Order: sequence, then structure tokens, then C-alpha cells
Amino acid sequence: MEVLAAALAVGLGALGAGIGNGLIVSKTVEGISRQPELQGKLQTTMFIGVGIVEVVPIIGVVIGFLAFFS
Amino acid sequence: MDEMMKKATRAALLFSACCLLVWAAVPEWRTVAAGLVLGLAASVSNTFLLRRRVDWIGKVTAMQGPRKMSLGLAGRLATVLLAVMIAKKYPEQFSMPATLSACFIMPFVTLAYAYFLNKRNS
Repeated sequence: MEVLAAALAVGLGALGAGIGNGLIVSKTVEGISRQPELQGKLQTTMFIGVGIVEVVPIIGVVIGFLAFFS
Repeated sequence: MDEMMKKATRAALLFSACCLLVWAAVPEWRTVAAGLVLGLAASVSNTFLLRRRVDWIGKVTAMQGPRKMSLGLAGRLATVLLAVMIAKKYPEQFSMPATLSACFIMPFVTLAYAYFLNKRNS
């Protein structure tokens, strides 16, 4: 059961974060390509978005490791 | 991004200094303070790694570089895992919940600073 819990936590967290990060990066790259003068602002927004999105899979992996090893 | 990062790092350093004061002055809260400092160190290092990667993606996009890029999630994941495993190995020195919660302080601090900077500028 612990293995299943770890797998669900890691897998679902990684799936959501992968989709979210992909959308953020693709839109930012698209924006930089269209308006290179806004690169700084777009990078700042991307930095904040990626930082917030990545919290979920990291928590999932840590909780999965803890459930698996303890 | 530079101004925001500077302010967020300054806030994290201030918070770690407060935690060190608590560690020195209140023996009952020693494990919590040490865990918070450990988690904050991991969080700050993660933020600098992410900033470097975002800068690199911007440069690569502007210069029409290689199409394959990664955000380096594995490195940041490994940093947090290292901090949590240290807290798990030495439970008498570091509190695990404090370490785990402090690992995610910097993204929210950065978000708060960005909100206030945006409000001030507009």
C-alpha cells in the first residue's frame, strides 16, 4: 500500500506540474519571440510561475520517499 | 527579476538570522530553528538554480539556440530531498516538518514581493 501511495503522489504531482510547466514555458518563449523587448518582464513572470508550480511535485516526491522508506 | 531576487534573499537571510537567535536563546525550539535554517538554505539554493535556468532559457530563445531545453527540476528535487534526508537522519538536531515547510518559503516570498512591486509600479 505504501508503494501505491508513493507512486500516486509522485505520478500525479509530476503529471500536473509537467503540463503546467510546459504551458508556462511555451507561452513565455512565444511571447519573447514576438516581443523581445519584453523579455525581462516575461522571464520574471515565468520565474514566479515555475517556482509556484514546482512546489507540488517536490512535495509529492518528498512525501512519496517518506512513505516508501518509513 | 534582480531586484525581486535581492529582496527575497535578504528576507530569507533575515529569517535565518532570527532562527539562529531562537536556536541560541530557546533550547526547546532548537530543533525547529535548525530545521527552518536547513530548509531555507535548500530553498534559497533552489531559487538561484531556477533563476539561472530561466535566464538561460531567455538567452537561448532570443538567440535561436537549441530547441531542447529543460527547467532542471531534478536538481531542485534532489536539493530538497537532501535537506529532508538530513533531517530524517538526524531527528535530534533537525525537525522534519520545519525543514519540509521551510523548503517552500522562497517561491511564496518571491510571489509576495512581485505582487507588491507590481502594485507599487502600477
